[in-house]
Amino acid sequence: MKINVEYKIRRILDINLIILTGPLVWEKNAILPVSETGMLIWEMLSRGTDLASLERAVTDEFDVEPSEARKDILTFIRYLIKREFLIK
Amino acid sequence: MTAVMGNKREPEEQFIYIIQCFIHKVRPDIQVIGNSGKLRYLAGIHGLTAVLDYINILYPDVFPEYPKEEAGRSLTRAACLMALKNAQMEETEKLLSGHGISYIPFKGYVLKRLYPEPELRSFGDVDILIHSDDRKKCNDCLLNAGYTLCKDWEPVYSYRKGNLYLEVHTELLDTEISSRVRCREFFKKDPWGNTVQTGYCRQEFSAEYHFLYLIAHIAKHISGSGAGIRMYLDLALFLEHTPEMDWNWLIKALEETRLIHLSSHIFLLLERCFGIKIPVEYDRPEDEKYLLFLEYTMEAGTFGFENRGRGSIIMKKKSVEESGPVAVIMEKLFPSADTLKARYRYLQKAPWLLPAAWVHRFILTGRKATSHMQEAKAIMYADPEETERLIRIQEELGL
Repeated sequence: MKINVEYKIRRILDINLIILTGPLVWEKNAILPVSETGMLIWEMLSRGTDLASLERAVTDEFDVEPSEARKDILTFIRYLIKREFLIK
Repeated sequence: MTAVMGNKREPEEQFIYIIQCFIHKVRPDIQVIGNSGKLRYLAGIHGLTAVLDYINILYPDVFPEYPKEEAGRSLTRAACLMALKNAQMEETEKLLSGHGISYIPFKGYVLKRLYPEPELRSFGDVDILIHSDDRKKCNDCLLNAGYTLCKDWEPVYSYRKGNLYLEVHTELLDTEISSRVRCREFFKKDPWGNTVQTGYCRQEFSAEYHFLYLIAHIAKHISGSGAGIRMYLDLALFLEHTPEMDWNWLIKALEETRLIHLSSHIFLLLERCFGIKIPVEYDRPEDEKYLLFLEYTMEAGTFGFENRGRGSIIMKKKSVEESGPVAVIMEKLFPSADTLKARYRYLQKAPWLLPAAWVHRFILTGRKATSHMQEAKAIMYADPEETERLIRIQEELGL
């Protein structure tokens, strides 16, 4: 899996924003506010990390059960695929 | 830091004090109890909601009645919009540079970097100056890239694409601000000679020139409907970030443009409200006049449209020429060739084309008949005392 768009990240206090750049900046949903967990997943996906490593990183970083982490990661990944931010 | 006034019980005092703390990056030493709604209202009309939310998140105990989570949601919404506008403008800059069009961004889009987070500086439009020779090339390039032309008001053209509203200027001021100042010629002379190169086709005004322009911009708004506290916050942050500005040049230019009297009020406001040190001597206005200026600034929001009668604003502009309401309505609907020739240059050579210019204006501004009717009604019912007060304040400020 890899990130399929040009983007930049903005952090304002505890607000994390993923902003599409290039031609996609004009799309209706060109900005994506995400939680700390979402930002960690995005950054790891941008480095081409696999699902198992993602799960490990999320459970290490945040106080969450592996099954819960997996569920959250998959939900987020499905959303990113649906919006074509992520390709398999 | 300078205390604003008394023990900061009034919401206006608390609001200014909080902005002062924002400028100096310190924790406000107050608790806002009972005034949260009024403070949020003031922040809203002055385009500073994001700044108040930012302070609220940083120091939640300052606002015990307003949940940090609510401020977080509000700031996220504002930050998303501004981050998107900024990103869209960055793409627009690439487009202009790709076509070899030199441009100078100014006002909010440049001032945003003075804020601790650029997204805290809200703006409705992005202003750029281009060479008038590049006008056609710029228009073709923007239209080909999917921008829609909104207003074609020589020397200002506006375009929209996505969330971005772009104002393209070929001159910095389209008309003289008031009969008492000499700004238009000054800013027409050599804006490109007062810049530094910041990119392949991108230039920015020198600090002094931009600061002077911002004062002229405030003068323009005061001559119109009004100028709110955000414009002075911009100046305060500007001075905090530009300690080595050429004040000799600035004072000389303020005298030449006849903005020196207004600037003395502005300097005192920056000192008293925001604790900004002005490094030159200036004629300090009397307390009574200063407080009148501060009240005028605070009461009507960013551009003076809140709590201020539209009819009085229009009558104030025209009363200088001592016209009655009917004459003012006629002048609004059918302006003279002298009024229109700055926007429609063909009138300079052929004033007999005035009726064509009226039609041109109706089409380009796209205003509906109901809007003209509402304006006429506002003029007819304008409060003469309010009109008189606005004229007096403008005159006090040398405009």
